[in-house]
Amino acid sequence: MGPTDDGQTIARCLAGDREAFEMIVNKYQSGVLTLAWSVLGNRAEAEDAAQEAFIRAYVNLQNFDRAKDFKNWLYAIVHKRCLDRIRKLKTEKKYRSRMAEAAAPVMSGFKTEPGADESAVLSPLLKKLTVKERLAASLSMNEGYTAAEIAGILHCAESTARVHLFNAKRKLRKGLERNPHVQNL
Amino acid sequence: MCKIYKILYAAIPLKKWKSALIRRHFERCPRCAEEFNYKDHVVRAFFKPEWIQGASSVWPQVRAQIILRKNEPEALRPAISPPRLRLPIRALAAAISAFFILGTIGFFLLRPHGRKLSGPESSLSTKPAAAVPRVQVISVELGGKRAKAYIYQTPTASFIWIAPSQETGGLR
Repeated sequence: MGPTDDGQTIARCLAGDREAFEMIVNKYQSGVLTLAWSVLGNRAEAEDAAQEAFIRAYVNLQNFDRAKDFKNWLYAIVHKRCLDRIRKLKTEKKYRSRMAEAAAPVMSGFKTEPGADESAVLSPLLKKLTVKERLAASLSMNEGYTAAEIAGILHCAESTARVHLFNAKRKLRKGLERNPHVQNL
Repeated sequence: MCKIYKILYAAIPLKKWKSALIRRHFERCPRCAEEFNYKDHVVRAFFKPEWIQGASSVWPQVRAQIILRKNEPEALRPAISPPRLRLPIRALAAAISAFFILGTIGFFLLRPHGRKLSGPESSLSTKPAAAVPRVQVISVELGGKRAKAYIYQTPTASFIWIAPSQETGGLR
């Protein structure tokens, strides 16, 4: 399904054919999930963010300028949703730490279980990157985006996107050089 | 990576300058570009986890949410927040600082001249001498001969010396 197909599908959605949106979801799900996971570093959060992004895209489909690329528009929504989730997670984390402090005397005898899906957690290598660097690197590596396209999604200057991308690659290189397992690859 | 550019990149504070350096050197220099794209295939794997390929479609959840909202595509509120009116904080701070600096300089340059007297001088009136009526001697005679008069006038008092005319001195 190319950009023109996107246009036709969007037209069908706007005409009231709700089921047509499934084609868009199936087409972009992988990219959206990858991007969300790169930013959030957690499978469950990434899936939630992806769902929210698709819903938001559907609800605001009328605002989409059809002269532009739908994928970029959708990725910009994903980026925004991810930032919102990060903000929410920070607040929750603060709240949890306060609750944990309050419950510490009672809960001291219990052990917390490790996360069920550890494989779906972001690698320590990527954790060294900032959110914007991760997003820029993900778009560049997976989608082959240029600095200008990344800037369009991040809503920043092209020069800034270029710096994000460069810093990401520099950090990744440093991380890989220190990792003996990756040396031989 | 060329060492000098690496040091330069670390030293440059502005993103635009960094970007210029990336464009001018790191993206063009074959040595740097090679290192820049170091083990791209390995890095790509980090950004594409395996679980994504096997992930089930999110459409059922999305569909349920859409039906729950009972909204056909319409603009409830923009998906991307409209750009907020951001005050250029740095420019504002620079303008305020410049205003204060110029104001201070202007105050010292344009304030009325005349220093405040201190010590014994301060007891004297600061009234300009021109305001005090001036003494004028038209003619002086000393022992029937014309003499010379010397006037010393302060803001509060006037002193007049009279000397024989053969003495030198200014008539005032």
